[in-house]
Amino acid sequence: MDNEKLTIRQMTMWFILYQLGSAFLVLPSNLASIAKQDAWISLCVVLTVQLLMIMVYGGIAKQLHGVPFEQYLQTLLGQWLGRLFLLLFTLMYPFLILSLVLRDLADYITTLILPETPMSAIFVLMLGVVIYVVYCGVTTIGRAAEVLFFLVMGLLALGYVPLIPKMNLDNLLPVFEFGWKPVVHASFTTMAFPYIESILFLYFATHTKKPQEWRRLVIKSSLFSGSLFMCVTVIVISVLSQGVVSTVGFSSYFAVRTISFSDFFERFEIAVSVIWFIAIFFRMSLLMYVSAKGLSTVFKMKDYRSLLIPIGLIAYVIAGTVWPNTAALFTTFRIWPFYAMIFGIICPILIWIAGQIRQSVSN
Amino acid sequence: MSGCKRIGLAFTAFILMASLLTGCWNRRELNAISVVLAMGIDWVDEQYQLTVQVSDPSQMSINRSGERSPAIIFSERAPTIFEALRKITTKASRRMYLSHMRIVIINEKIAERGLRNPLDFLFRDHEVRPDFFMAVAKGCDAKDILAFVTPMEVLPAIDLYKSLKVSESSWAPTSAVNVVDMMQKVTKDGIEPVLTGITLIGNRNKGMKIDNVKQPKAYAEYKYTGIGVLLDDRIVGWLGESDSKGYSYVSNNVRSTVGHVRCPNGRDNFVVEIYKSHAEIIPSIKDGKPHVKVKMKSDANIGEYHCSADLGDEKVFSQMQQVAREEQRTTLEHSIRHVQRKYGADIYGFGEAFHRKYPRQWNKWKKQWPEIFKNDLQVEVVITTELHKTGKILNTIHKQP
Repeated sequence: MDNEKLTIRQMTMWFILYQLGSAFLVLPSNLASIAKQDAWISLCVVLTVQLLMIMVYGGIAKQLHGVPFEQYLQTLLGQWLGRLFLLLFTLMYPFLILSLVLRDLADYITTLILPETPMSAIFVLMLGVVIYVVYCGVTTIGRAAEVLFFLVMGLLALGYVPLIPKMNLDNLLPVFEFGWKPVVHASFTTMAFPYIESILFLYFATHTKKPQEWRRLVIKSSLFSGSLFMCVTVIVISVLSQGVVSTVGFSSYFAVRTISFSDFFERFEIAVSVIWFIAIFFRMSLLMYVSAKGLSTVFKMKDYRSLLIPIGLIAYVIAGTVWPNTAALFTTFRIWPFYAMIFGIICPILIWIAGQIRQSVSN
Repeated sequence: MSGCKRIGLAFTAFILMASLLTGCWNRRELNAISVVLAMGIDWVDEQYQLTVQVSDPSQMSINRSGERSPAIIFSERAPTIFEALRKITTKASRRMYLSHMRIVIINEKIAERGLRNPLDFLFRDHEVRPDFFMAVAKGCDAKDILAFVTPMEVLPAIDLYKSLKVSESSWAPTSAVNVVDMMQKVTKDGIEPVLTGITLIGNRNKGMKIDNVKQPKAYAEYKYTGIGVLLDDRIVGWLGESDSKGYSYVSNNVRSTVGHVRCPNGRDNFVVEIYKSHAEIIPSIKDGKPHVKVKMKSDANIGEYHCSADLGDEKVFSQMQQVAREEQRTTLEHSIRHVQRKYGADIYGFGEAFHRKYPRQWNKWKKQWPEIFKNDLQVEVVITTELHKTGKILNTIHKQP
């Protein structure tokens, strides 16, 4: 297919933006509500697990031998089983995340910035752009990522560097007040979203010449986004203290709102929303691409592009009805990590084992 | 085919462009909002009385007429804050816009009942920025403070705001409390919040008239008084000037301040001007009981000198330094002991210090901390203040012998 080239640099930036995605705003609150002031340690746990999982993903990438991931499943599990698996996987994981992310974006906008705007307006605007960019192909997205990556980094610096003088490191003490348990418990959420979603990056494994290159770039992007999360979490918790962080919903946004230097350098919290918009745009375009790719393979279609509009429309409906109120959202997020682990941890391990067995049998 | 396509494209472009022309859903035109600069909350007839001070935009221009007041006050009563705020639209032609609020003044009666409920709206609403200051109206209504005419600034709210900031940075007994400080202290264990007090002095009724500023001496003035001690979210008492100062020292709130010290001869005073101060709280456990060492170091100059001893003599100078230290020690000790015995509210954050250093022990103490703070906690104050300079002259002017 035409227009499918991605450089390693573009891919890394795209993946970093993907991982920043929805987690960036809610992460400190999620972590702090369970791990309290030890939230940053949870992130270390998350990154360790992520590196272990990348070994598994890298193993699968090695097994591909140039076959795209979505087709590899059919060679591995057989025509029918492979297609059935891919169908269920696509619908229950990337496609569902796509709808949830869309809803998340709208929830944020309607809670904090434009409370009277109907959510559907936000859905339509975002979906329109995402469908268009995925229609243009991954090269376009890669180039866009290359350009916007620096804007995001610049805005992050604008938002969080001014908070550094207000940091009070006492807020991070005592370390390990309640032991390892809450630290590990808190790490589940972040692990589930966005880190183990890296299985979706396998769809891009054939864009690099060697599987090792792919593995290196996923490690790079995970470490990069992980250290950004770490900085943001440490800054936000030490500026606001864990009590406030766990009370306030979008604490990364809230923290930037408190900046005020000499009544002049202040009120640029909207920069944070811009970061979030851009990151979500890349997140959704990846999810949209992966879902369309997966479904078009299942239904043996020549081009994934014809599926974009139907997927968008279904996502629109799901996003509008997926949770009726904020309480339901919080309940969902308590269960979500375990649900996501089925697809992000168990599935890849099974696929990898199956691949190993197949290899040894054919040898 | 290509004709169809062109028409289709043109149509799409048309629709896209049209959608850009619609503007925003949530727009607030400038001429439809009133910028709220200060808010006051009173408790009247078992209801909240919400008062907002907004600026009159027509009075903000250079060629304003002197006829109309630059600030307007609206007030309304309702069982909740949000209702009261919306009810104000029955009296005002514009919708209240809260993003630029500078200060919130709360009546003492509400502070005694607990601040959690009235403040909930301010934490929850998306328009309110977490950067306003909070103060408690002591001995008068919040409404009166917002309604009176201030001499320096055209907008009373800005006057209150600036005065609070200036006073905080140069006069230790005042400590400005930001809403984020308040939120932090309410959610943390082992530290209790404080709030600044504000009151009106002079002839209140005359102070509400524009006449208040028509002569050099205003009829009524506002004044930030000492700080109020809170236990959880309720105010339990007030600290005097010296005790407030002690609090500011311990909580590292002092940027610069002055204070008098008795001369070693016991008759006159001299003034130390502190320009740098840092206090450290060192917790320890002695015989199973909490013990806190407050180590304070400040750098100061002599700012005024009424004593007779010769400052050029190094022995005299170090004697001055010694009495200055003693004075500070007494201030801190008195402040801490007073708060311990009278209120049992750990506003200094000693419990927090234990929490950081002895998390296990702290979790045992946490529940009874107010009692432990009140009865068992031993506090030791160590001062290492240094005097450095004497200003433009050395000794007071006198006849050379």
